[in-house]
Amino acid sequence: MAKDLRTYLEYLEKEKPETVLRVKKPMKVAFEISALQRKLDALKKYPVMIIERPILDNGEESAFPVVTNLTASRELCAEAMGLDHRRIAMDYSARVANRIDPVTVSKEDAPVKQVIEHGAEVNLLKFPILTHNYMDPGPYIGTGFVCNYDPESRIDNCSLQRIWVKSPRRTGYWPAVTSHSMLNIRKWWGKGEDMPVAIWIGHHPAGISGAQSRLAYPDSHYPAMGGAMDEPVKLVASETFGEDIMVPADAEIVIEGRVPKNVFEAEGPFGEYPGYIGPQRPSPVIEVECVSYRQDAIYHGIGVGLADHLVMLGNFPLEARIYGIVKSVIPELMNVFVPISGRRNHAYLQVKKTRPGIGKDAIMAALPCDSRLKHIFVVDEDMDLFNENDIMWSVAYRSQWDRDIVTVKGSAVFPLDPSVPSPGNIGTRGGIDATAPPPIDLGLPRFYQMINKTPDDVAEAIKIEDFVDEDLLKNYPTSS
Amino acid sequence: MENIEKVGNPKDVWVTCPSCKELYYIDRSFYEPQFNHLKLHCPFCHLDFPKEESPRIWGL
Repeated sequence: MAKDLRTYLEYLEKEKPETVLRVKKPMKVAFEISALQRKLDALKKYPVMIIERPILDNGEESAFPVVTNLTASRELCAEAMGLDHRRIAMDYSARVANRIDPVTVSKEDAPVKQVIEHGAEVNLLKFPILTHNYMDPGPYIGTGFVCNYDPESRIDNCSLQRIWVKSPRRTGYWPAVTSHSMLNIRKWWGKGEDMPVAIWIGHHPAGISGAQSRLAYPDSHYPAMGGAMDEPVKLVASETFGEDIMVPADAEIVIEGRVPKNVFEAEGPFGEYPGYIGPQRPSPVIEVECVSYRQDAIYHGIGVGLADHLVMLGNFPLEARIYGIVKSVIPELMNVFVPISGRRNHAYLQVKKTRPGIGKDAIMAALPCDSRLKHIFVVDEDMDLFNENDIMWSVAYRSQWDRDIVTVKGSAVFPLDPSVPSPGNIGTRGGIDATAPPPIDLGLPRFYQMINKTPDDVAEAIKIEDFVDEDLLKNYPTSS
Repeated sequence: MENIEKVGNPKDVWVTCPSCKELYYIDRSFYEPQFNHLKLHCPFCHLDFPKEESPRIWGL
């Protein structure tokens, strides 16, 4: 059976039931589902959440359940791709680069065509679309892949973009100025035409991640999606635009419409991935003409600004991109981790410090990899890259602020950072080399003070379980 | 002159809704010529209003 959202959920509920939270009580789509997700996130608990009885803004119970937190657990996301979460930097690229061409299926074989509605039949507000943060002006689709195509090459583009459902058949949406979607909008509008779009929602997490992979322009995301899933994506022609815009046949919901030429409206404010509510902006709109969906569609929502929004949909591709670029100039690079704490602004790089200068060179190589990268931390191979205590320990005891900092002023940075001056979005980026000095010659140790350590034989002999009851151990106080 | 202190100028333009008086913020691009005519949308009471009708504006 082809991979899709429901095969993944079935797998989890059968094989890993401890990873799924089914909420049977009614919950409002406005704020309540996000509130529960936020509270679990604060506890660092990331079950996949299935809300069986979402309550719409009009007070009615939606016919469709909500799944959210699908991409919140780093370990679970990696496993969904068949990868080790500590090796995403090295292995994710290979999966996405292993392109598998999509296959086309007929409308009859496309589950997403089970229900098709046109024109006045369309009502997006019957779907349990979440309202997340207190200043959001209404429900936002956070998991909609907006598909369009370059009118010159006719090559398709998919990108995850925030979509404010303003009314049953009208949405706002915000493609960033530098996005490929915006490039296509400019081309269509330059021809004097509205841009056709189809938005698909709901698929296997590996497929979603592949669709979100960073590619050159123009380039189709569907082969990358196939590579990420390790099987071809099944595509079907959209209702409105035929084979000009293909959509995943195994998606849950597809929304089709047009981006009218030169129309901008106020959109937002919207709580975004940095954890801050971005300002209201002038943004294009989508006039919806058709919607198709599975009879028992599952609406995929996302915890905006939480781990759900970060781990797989941004940080995995970023780790792979940094690794590929930096490794090509710094062979001593060992691994890369983009932690959710830095929300795409921070990257931790681990190097084998065999010679002077590696740390700063790695910082300079990493910074241009993505406009969102702001601070790079470089640590040694004896640190646990995935333990932030080790990163801060390195900064504390293996660096001198004036000697080891790299600062790049006047750099273009991502506008969603509230510390960046506006207008212009020009800011400062940099990093810190938190590595110890390398050996002074080949074959010599690094002459740096040794880390506290119990003698090996004693550490081996003393086992916690010989002295402490397992249940008591779970309840002992922790510290930070 | 190099800025050595964080100063009070906000990144965004802060406006109040003429109807519900709630405070929120907009991107500076609303003041660019191509967007200057756009109405703002209060995220709280959903009033669409010209920005000039905001009773108080900060950060311009």
